Amino acid sequence: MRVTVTVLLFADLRVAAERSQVQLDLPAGATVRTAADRLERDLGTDRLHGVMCAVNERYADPATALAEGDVVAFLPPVSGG
Amino acid sequence: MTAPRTPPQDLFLVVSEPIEPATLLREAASPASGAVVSFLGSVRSPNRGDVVHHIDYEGYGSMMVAEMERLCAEARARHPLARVVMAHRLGRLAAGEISLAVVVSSAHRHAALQACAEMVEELKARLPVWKFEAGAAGGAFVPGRADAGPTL
Repeated sequence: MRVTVTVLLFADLRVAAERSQVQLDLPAGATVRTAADRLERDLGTDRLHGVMCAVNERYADPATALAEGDVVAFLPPVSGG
Repeated sequence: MTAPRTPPQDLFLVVSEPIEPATLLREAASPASGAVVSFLGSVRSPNRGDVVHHIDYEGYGSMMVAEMERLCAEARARHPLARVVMAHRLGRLAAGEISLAVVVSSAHRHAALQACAEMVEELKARLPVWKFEAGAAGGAFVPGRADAGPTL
């Protein structure tokens, strides 16, 4: 069993990846950190260090297990307002 | 006899057009609310000594609304509030334009003043929003904060 998740990228991550969204096909038991590691490998960067994570529109721990169809977002330090 | 009135829903907005404070104030006001408090945040220039021409605001819109709902529920657990209206604008804003509005009504001023101040702080810490600030010397993403959730 594998899980397919959608990953959303913002700000400098979006610029570095030259896209705002990617699909990742991950092994069963994958976590947010698994997705981050895969993304860093694919992009050839270590830019995700210090970045916050969200799963399905809620801040989440990198150890959060991912399910089929989850939307993962990597959120660089925020500066709203 | 009148039917029990459903209280108006709080309003959480992510917009691309200019924020109209008068409209939001009207939304939050009611005869039972003796206090209506508003905060307006705008694009500051100069910022850290440099003239700012404009800011491009980027946001994760659906999560912005979800965080607005969550932090409003938290504020409602601490304060007796009538209505809460929040709006954040995204896209290109010139210096002086309003980027964030929070309007809170309550029967009494203390709850409205305190809740408004607390929610502004929470919004600034938690909303997934990024600013690219452009001035004479080019542009750069504004350094942000990462205390709203665990980091990688």
